[in-house]
Amino acid sequence: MDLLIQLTINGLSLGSVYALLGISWGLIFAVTRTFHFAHGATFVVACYSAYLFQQLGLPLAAAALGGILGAVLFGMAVEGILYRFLRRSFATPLVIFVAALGTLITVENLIAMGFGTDTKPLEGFPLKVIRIGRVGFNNLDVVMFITAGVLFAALMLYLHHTKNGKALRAVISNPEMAEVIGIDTRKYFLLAFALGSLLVAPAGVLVTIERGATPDLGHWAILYAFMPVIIGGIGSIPGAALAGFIIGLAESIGIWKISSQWQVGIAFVVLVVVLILKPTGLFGFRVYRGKI
Amino acid sequence: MDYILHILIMISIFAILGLSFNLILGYTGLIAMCHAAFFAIGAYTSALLGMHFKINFLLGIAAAMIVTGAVSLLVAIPAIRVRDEYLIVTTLALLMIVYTVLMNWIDLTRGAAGLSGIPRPSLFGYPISTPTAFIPLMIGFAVIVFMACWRVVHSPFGRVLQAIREDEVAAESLGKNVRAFKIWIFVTGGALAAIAGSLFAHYMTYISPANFTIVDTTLIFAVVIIGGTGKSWGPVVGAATLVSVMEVLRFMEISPVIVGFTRQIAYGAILILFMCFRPQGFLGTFATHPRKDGEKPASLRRGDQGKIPSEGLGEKIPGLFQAGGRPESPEKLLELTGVSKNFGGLKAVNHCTMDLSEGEIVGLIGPNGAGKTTLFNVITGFYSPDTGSVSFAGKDISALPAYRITHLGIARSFQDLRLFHNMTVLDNVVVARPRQTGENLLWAFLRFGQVSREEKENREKALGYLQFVGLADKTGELAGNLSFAEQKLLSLARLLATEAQLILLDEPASGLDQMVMENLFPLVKDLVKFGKTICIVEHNMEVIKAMVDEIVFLNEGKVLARGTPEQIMNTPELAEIYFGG
Amino acid sequence: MSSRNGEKSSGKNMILEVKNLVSGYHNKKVLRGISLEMEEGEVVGIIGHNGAGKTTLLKSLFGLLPPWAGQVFFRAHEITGRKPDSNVKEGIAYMPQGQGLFPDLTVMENLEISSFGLDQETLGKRSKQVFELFPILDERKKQRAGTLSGGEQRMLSLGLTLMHEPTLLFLDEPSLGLAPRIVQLVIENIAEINRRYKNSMLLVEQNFEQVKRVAKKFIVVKLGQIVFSGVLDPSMDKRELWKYF
Repeated sequence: MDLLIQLTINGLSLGSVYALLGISWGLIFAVTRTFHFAHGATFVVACYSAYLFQQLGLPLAAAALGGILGAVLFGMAVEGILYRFLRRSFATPLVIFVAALGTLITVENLIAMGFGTDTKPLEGFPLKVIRIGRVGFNNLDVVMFITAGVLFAALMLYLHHTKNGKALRAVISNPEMAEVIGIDTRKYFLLAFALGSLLVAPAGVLVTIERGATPDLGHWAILYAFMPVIIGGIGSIPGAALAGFIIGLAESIGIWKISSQWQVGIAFVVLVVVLILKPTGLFGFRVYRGKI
Repeated sequence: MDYILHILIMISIFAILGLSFNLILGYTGLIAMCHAAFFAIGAYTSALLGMHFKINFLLGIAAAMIVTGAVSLLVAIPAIRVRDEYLIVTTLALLMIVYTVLMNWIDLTRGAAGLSGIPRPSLFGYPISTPTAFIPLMIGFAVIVFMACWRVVHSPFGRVLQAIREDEVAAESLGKNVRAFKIWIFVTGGALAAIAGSLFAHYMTYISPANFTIVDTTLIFAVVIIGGTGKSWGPVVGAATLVSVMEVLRFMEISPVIVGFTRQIAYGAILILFMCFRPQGFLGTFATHPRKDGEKPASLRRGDQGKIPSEGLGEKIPGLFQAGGRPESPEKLLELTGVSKNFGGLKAVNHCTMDLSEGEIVGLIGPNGAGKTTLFNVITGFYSPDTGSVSFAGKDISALPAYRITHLGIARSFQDLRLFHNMTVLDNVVVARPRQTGENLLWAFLRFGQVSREEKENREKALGYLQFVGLADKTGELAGNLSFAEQKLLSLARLLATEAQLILLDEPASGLDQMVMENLFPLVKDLVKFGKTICIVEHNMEVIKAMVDEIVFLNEGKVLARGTPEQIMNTPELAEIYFGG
Repeated sequence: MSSRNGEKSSGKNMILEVKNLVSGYHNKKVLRGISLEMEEGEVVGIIGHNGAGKTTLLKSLFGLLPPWAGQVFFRAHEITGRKPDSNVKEGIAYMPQGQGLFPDLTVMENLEISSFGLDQETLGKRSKQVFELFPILDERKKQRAGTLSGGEQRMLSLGLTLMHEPTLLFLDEPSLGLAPRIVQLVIENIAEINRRYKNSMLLVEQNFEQVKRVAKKFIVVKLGQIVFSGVLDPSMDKRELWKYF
């Protein structure tokens, strides 16, 4: 029983990261319909920006904010410069996808070249182990869970209670009608990328604190960004969040039965099963129409 | 010198990877991310068999192909149901699963440590261990794969692949079992990638999971895209370019550590630059710019007003159509009995009963939402009826998939035409020809003579249909460059090429001007003389009056009346319904 | 006022003037030279067969589809090809065919979104006006728009066009897909809007029976051209209409 609780806690901690990856990518995809492969690069940029700021002498908290800033600027640049250019040139979705793929590879390797491939830490987190009975976890796990929860709630509040948030939901809900009432879709695309990058950055910072950063984190990040969105249903932010936690829990609990080496494979199995049983995802019902 | 040979060897391997991936991405339009996984499975299978069982190198390749083919089949069956984004994620997941297996099944694969000591190949007792000795082997296989891919692409099978890439729905409506084609090409591409894997493993003598990550998939993408996906030589050009870049950078770099990154940065940057400035690659025709609404297409800029040549219209080669003419006592050809189709509570078709007899031309009219296009979709098998049955020539076709219904003799046109824009006018029509032996991948290779013969006949017939509609002088033109009126005619020629007996035309006159229409009417009416039965959905009454014998008036998914145009237009109740009441 | 094509508006008291508009999609020419004039306060019905170009016409006028040739003048100044957001600000509104609303937003949110740029007070005032016209929407203001009935959705769609107090409205088949009784209601609402606000309307409809109650003048579009422009006798035998379709 204690083991189960332990695994649940681990799963929630993992799931927090996946949930953030999912809701951030899902938001961008629902609003812009762009398959933003370079979101993985945004994640890595967050990690290394935070690391860089710390190297420059800033305390952890400020460095974390620096990481977030770096990610947001990067995400907005990819949209504002690259994707916008491609769209103006009438690029097909495949072309944009390939350019995004190229961006991920380029950025990861630029970072590897600049920082090296050894694991870079983020120091300064007062790690404390907490024990309740025979169950043990640490305060970083708690921080991760709270961060995911707070950001998710903040996003939902933003989308439902602010002017711009409602405009984003409008673009997701009926992009043609958005044009009719005069919403400037270009501006809102940029906002979606800014928000998405803002949401994914904390995940990067926390992962760096927990395990350190390596340049190839990007391709793992992007995979764990897609999967909750596909599993949860394209267009559903709560769905992506929930799916992120489900994957985290499945991976964590799965270790109990299967060797821990296969942890990663579990997520993919969940994905394939969901796709076969319910191709539109758990909460998806209309293609691209968001229930957010 | 050895170094140059090494480059040539790597180019060969990546050319094979590119050629096989091009079949899937470039020709069929499937964005599959898992090609590096096929490369990996091929490499590991061949390596392990060589290491543990010392089997003959060529057998090893064969085994690798079989194993990889089996895995790709397993993946294809579910993956083929999903499209675009879902396919990307599913195949990416496969790639990562394979990577995970390679890393973690340590007993088999030695995990991250990789397999070292893979035996060098020996051919007919002749050991191959120097680059010089490898060259003929590598280039030999590359040539074989190139020729195989060339044959695939230029065969009727390959033509269907392109049609699928262009418009799956249209391909299905022309009688092609799209699912089967996709599965075949997935498996073929996978098996060919396995060849590259084997060669790689036995050349490098050391492989590890690090050779088969998403970066390597990106590299394969790059090879195909930079070369250009539309041409057979594309991947070869792409492989040569990228491998050379890789090696040039190696020369330029001082620190070996930086080399690896620079290479990958170069791949990424090359991809970005090409997508921005030359998405079609060096040679290729893929990623054509879709025209935005309002941007004047080439045909309009040329000043074509949509006129069509009036000579040639209606001419036919003898034997183009089966001898026909209206039968003395026409049989019922199509019978709908109590057919309903609901969409979430909306009854698009509601217990509809009607029939068509041989040799008739019938128009289907009705107010908006009366269910006309839905009815077409039910008849042609794109929807299955919720109640009732559809039978054709006495056979119940209600449950048949669309492509089988086309084989039986029903074909339809689409309101938005759905032509294969990046294929030539001639190919658009040839692909519609039924019963092509060459559409079976195996026969395309094994029954070369028969396939050639059929191909010749089909091209002649296709030319005949094009002559019939007046497009004989445009056979080499890409369908996307024609004027709208010409595209309409092409869609008719394509339809006729299926040899369907029952032809359903969905708004044949839309988008055409008066003069063009007047040339079109007699063409369609003539078809009855050739044994066709025609059903037209139209909203323009001039067209209806000029073309049809009788009108079926549909409202709210039900047949309300049937009669001659005069009868229908003189009935006050029907006018009330049509114009709102 | 002159324009880039060198043609001037005729300058009469026209709220809308269209000269030789040519438009289409990709390589498909749909409008083959449409010219029309509308006076302030008029409700003009546009009828014609499916595919004749009625929707293309409205889209080209409103800026959703850039015209290939021709000119559009709003109150004698040229607006040809201008993007929707400028048109909305100037008091031109468009009600699209089908679902002209945001199904995943609530009724109130739909109204808010459509009044982008307006301050809270104006939003409140305009929403009130919409609720006066359509009390049922007031009842359902917190409901997701996609869960409203067909007729209610149309009403909301109409309400959204009113948020910027338009003087010119383009309405694309408001009765499409609705039950006959509801169609009547929707048309009455349109008539009421015209009565209250004295705006001008270009109303595309297939349902002649209904639209004749709100429009006196008609334009018939057939194969991308205008084949009739003028008054149609509301009591005419509908069989006479076949020749226009």
